[in-house]
Amino acid sequence: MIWKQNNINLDRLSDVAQIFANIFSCGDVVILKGDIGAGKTTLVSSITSLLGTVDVVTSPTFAIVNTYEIYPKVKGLNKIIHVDTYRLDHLNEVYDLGLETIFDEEAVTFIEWGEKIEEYVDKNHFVIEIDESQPEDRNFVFQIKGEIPRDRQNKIEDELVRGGWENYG
Amino acid sequence: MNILSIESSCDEMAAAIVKDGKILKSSIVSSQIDLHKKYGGVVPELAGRHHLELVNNVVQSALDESGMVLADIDLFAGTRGPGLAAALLVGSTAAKSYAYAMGKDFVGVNHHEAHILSVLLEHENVEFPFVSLLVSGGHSMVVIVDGLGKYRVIGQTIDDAAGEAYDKVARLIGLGYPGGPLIDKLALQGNPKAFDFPRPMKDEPTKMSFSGLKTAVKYALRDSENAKIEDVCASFQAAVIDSLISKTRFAINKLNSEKLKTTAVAIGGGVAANSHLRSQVKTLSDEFSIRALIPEKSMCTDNAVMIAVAGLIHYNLRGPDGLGVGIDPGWKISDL
Repeated sequence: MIWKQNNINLDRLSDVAQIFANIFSCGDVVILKGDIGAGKTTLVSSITSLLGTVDVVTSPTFAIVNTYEIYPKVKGLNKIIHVDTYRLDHLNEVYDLGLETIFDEEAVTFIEWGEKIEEYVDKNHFVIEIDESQPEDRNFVFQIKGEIPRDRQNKIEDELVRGGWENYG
Repeated sequence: MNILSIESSCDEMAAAIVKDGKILKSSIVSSQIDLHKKYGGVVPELAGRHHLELVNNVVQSALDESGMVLADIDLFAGTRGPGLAAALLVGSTAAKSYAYAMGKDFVGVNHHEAHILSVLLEHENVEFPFVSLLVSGGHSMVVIVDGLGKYRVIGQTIDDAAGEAYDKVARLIGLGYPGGPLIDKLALQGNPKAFDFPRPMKDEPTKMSFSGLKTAVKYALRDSENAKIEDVCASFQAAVIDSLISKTRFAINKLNSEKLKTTAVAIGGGVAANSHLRSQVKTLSDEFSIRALIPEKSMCTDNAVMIAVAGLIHYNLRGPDGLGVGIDPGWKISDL
């Protein structure tokens, strides 16, 4: 399942974030790909505040893992886990950090520079790719990896269509 | 009183022994010594379970350097947060285990508070309140220190930390790691006015933002082929430090407006080793005729000495922590 949306101006990023906030729920793992300055942290920050956290979402590059509480729970969601593997050079560092222990059924987990550990995420997950088309414009690719229930998939597709995304099969 | 402290909030595994919170007996930081040569084993680039392999060696190394044995230690301190859970667990649990085994007390320390209080080791008669600028790879914040254990976060970054901006810009330019010292060095030979990089959040005195600056550097490099790297570094550095200084100035003015005279301006964290920041903070202190509390460069980056200093202060204020106290990866300094 590949969906795309091209040449979105950065001032419309919150519209993109709103679609994702409608889609993601407890237990989801979302991998973000894109170059430095593409807007990965900005997008996660925007989705995260829409999901209900009151904290300022900052870059997790140095901390590697930041966790934001959602209180009271929103639809069973009690936290957002924001991971950044930018500083990891080898897959074994993922094991050393114990990252497999952070996935949480009551959280949505975002992983920036997630391509480095995607092979390690055996769980069903989503992928968002952000590519700079112009300094102020971005192309987005959204993928569903693995099997998800049919009714959920339908809901996701409805959201994407409503948000102006195009299906590339 | 001899305090043995362990710091492992992120990449570094560090141990130190400090007597009476003032006299430095030893300080070991895993990345700065050749543990491989000394004890065998691998020094990892990043934190995690490798910390577990390092911790006893680093502690033994601190004991050896001080000429002490475990029985000479009166109090054990460990970082409880904020930081990476897997890393914090190792240092904090080790400190508690040593305390339990030796029948001595344990005290848990907040990493940010330790950075702020580290200036007490090197400066006599520090008075409150003062303003502290804490800048590292993971954090950028301006804090009003009303007293020991009393902190108000006045300004902080809404996206990237200042040190992270240095490292990412260094990567864009093609310099090595860590980027901060390399950019600092090149900036000395460049023109800080060559590029007019943005000062984000100029009108928001309590917010810093460095994410857009990184992008601005990216376009400057792309659009001006003949750009001198030194000029890019100098202009970038000027933009970062300008922002940091203006937020710090705001906090000093805020504190003065509360009729609580600011006694000093302090810096801490890895970016506090930056030469331009150090000189600008000195200038800022002159502007207000207050003290500048600038730590030695070795005290700016993560170390265990500051954990011992803050640990003893808390021990004297509120006594020991029970061995049941856990880590807190998101521990905010305002919640102390």
